[in-house]
Amino acid sequence: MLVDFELVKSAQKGDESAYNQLIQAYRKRILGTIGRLIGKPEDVEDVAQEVFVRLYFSLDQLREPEMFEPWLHRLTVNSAYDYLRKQRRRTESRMSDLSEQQVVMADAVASTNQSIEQDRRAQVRELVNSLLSEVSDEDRILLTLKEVEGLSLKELEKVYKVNENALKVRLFRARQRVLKAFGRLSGDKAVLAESLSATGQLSKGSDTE
Amino acid sequence: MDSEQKLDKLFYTFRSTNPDPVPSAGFTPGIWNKIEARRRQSFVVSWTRNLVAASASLCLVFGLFLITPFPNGSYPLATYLDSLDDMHDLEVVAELHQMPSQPVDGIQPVLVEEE
Repeated sequence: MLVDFELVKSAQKGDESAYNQLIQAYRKRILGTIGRLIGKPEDVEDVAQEVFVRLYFSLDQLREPEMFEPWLHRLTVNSAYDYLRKQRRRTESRMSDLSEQQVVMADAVASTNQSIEQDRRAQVRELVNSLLSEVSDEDRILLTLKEVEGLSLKELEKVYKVNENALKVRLFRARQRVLKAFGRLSGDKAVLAESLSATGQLSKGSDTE
Repeated sequence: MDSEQKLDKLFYTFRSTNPDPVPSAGFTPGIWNKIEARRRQSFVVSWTRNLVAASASLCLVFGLFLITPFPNGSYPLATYLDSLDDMHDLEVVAELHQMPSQPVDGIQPVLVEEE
C-alpha cells in the first residue's frame, strides 16, 4: 500500500487535499498499468484520468480502507475495458472506410518518424497487442494483470470478486489461445519473437528507462 | 526454448520496455476539471429529473381531476337559459330579455320582435 489508511479515510470524508495526495501516490502506477492494458500511449492519460474521476465519485462506497488498492485496480480494469470496447467499435468503422493500401501507408508514415529504439518498442507492443487480440477484452485485461503486471491470484481474487479456481480456469484458457496465436506467427512478427527469445531483451538500456 | 517460455519472455520484455510513464503537468488539474464538469452535469441531470417528476405529478393530478365523474343528475346537460327557465326565476329571465318583470303603471310590456 502506497498510502496509509488514514489518508484514504480523509479522502472518503471529502478532504480534497487528501484526495490530491492519493492521486500523487498512485498516478504513475495507474498510468503504467493503463498503458500496458490498452496499448495506445496517446490515450493513456485520458483513461487514467477517468479512473481517478470514478474513484472520486465512488470512494464513499468503499467500506474497508484496506481494500483500497483492489478497489483502485477494479476501477482501472473497468475503465480499460470500457476504452477497449469503444476503441474496437471505432476501429471497425474507421478501418472499413480505408482501403488496405491506405492503412499500410498510414502505418509506414507513422513509423518513419520514430527512432529505431522507439520503433522496436512499438513492434513489441504491436506483437503483444496482436496476440492479446485473440482473446476477449475481459480475458486480455485479466491475462495482462497476471502475466505483465504480476498480480497474484489472491490479488486478482479481490479485484474480480470471484474464487481462485474460476480465475485459474479462465487464465488457462486465455493463455492457451494466446499460445496458439503465438505458434501461428509468421513474417516479421515471427522474426521479432525469435529474436526476443534469443536475446531476452530488445536492446541495451531499454530496461532502465 | 518452448512456446510457454517464449511467451513468458515476450511478456517480460513488454513489461520492461513499457515502464510506468511520467505524468504530464496537466494530468492532475485535468482530473479536477473532469470532476467539476461531472459535478455540474450531475446537478443539471438531477434538477431536470426533479422537474420532469414534478410535471408528471401535476399532469396526473389534473388528469384525475378531469376524469372524475359528476354526481348523478348534476351533469350540466341543459343550456343556461333552460336552467333559468326551470328555476322560474322571472326576474332574471326578464332582465335577460330586457323587459321589466313587473308591469309599470300605464305601460304594458312590449316584446321587441326580432327581424
